Amino acid sequence: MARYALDEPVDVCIIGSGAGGGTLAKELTRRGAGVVLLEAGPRLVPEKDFENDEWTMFSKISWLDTRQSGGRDGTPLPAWIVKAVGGTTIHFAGASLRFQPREWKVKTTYGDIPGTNLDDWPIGADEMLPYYKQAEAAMGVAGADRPNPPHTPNTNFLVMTRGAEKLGLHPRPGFMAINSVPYDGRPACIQCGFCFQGCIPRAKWSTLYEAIPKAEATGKLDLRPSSQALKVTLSAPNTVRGVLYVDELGRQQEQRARVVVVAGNSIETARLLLNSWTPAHPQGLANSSGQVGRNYMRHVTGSVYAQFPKPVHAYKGITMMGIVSDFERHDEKRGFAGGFHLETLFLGAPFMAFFVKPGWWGPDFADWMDHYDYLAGMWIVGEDLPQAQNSVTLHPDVKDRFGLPVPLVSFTDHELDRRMRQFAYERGREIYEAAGATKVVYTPPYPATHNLGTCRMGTDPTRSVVDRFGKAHDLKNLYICDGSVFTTSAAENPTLTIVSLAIRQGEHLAEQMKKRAL
Amino acid sequence: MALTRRRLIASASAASAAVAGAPWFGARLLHADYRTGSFRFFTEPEGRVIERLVATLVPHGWGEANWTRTAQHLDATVGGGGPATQKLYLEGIRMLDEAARRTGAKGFADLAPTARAEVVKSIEGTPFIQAVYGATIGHFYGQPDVWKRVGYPGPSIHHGGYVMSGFDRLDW
Repeated sequence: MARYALDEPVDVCIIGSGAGGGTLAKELTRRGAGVVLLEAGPRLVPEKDFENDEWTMFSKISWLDTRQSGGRDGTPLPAWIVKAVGGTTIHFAGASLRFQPREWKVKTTYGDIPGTNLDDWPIGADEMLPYYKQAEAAMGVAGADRPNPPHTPNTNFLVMTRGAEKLGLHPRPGFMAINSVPYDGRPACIQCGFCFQGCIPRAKWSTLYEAIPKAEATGKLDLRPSSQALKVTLSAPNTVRGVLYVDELGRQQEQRARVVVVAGNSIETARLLLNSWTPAHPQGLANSSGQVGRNYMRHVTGSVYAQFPKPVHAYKGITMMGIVSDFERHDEKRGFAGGFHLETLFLGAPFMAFFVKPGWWGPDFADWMDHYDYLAGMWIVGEDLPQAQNSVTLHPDVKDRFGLPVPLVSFTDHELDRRMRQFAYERGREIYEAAGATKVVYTPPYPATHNLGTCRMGTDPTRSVVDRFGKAHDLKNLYICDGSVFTTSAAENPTLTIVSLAIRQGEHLAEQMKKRAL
Repeated sequence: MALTRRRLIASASAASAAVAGAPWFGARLLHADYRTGSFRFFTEPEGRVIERLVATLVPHGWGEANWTRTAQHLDATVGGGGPATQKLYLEGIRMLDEAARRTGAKGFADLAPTARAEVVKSIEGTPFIQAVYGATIGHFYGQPDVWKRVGYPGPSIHHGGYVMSGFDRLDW
């Protein structure tokens, strides 16, 4: 493992080791670049630190530093993401869907929608296809025409299939970054049912045990866990010097770098840039457009759970095993913009009780829980619309232990987002009733795991934060590599697209550095 | 100032309260290890009100011993919590008893289950009920014996997951 000096510029310093940062570290080191990878959380070992227990793992891996919620639809905990090496790839379900081609160009497709800040991505489906394929190979995605064969349906998906097929819909096993056969030195899934708690056998892809060990094997990666970035520092008004951070021993350090890449997830990436303000950048770094922290998206989500007359045992097997994509298209007649998928999802008894219908108690609730093994569940994931006032801002009063303002995460659904959710709930109900459900419950959104769009990508520096390669318009050598660059959210789980963009950015950065353009 | 039993426990537990972290799930981080059925922070009548409140929120037919255990967990949480939490609970208990007395009963714990549910329903939105609700759901359904009762086997990694035991078999 490499050790780079603090005061000599390393080629690249990356902040955050999740889907974006972890993948980028691999792409850069394999091309010969030296990388310092700062990660706020600890490095956990799956076999030792992961457990089949929801609350234990929630407290062990989640990002629980103080964050405040705002807006009408804020959740008590604003986001359900991870603070550990590997980032939220430890918790993510594994769903790996490509964007639909039109979703790169939604302003063109949907037209202007009042109250939204819609725009087209500066890149498109054809350009992204080869990177999607590389990402799917790295992640070992299972499914038709993917590196791993499709998974065998679990009982939760069999129930969904039964109802969906009666309605003439087309359920299929999802595209999942979970090994269905041994792949890339990792074993096949044993269907333990704890995808969200960290995959103990390492069958589900994570940068923790895929990209990062590969980067380390090059001898070019200097991974620094438990290292919290505080600010990005400058050497000139348009040139980044490095990163100010607190190391694992609590000492404040500055790592110098030729290039700095921020990959801290949409909330922390925006907060870091805002906290890095200087007299030359009074609104925060990379923020001459005023768009840093704005257009925060988290997908239209919600769950439908149903009770059946006979046992389902839906807790068994891959959580997000199957999908119904019949509603993914854009159809103006439905009264909202964009589409959504219905994906199987299930929770253990502790989280079922906590999330199924917050505030529910009494005999009906006890009866529901008494039939826990008779339940099936699905999750709605749909495109939400970017709105300028849905945002990550600096809290005016509350500071963290380093004296920096904590993030205030504000979210209010657009009227069309609400319509989509209601429409999707009803389609979920129909599927379960067609399968014989006796009771159906609509579950409100969980704290967001898909956090997107606070540093949007675009061609116009007055309306976007980064360019088509993720470079900040305002600075020569600052890049962003996470879901915050999403111009719009699309209807698909975002990890595959984040990984594909990271692979593409790695190729670009290596070329630029070779040409000494950086 | 006289050192009451209540105050002693509160100060001794102050350190453990600091680990509670995010209030959203903090209640789950405190674990009590009781040898007897009695309460340490609450008086016996107070503890009994909390126990019946838990029983009202999660009224499973098999719940008796589990209600007591969750009430004891709340006792430990409140005992180790700050003065604001303690005030919230003590005033909440008084509120439940007063509402019960207005119906002619001796106290909340003496009401029949349906009458208890009506009292709770009438103050459902109060910070007290919300605090007890969140902590109760977190603790009660976090216990492996409760998982067995509701048909959730819990960890599966130790027996090799469900790949060989029915993950793909729906018996109907």
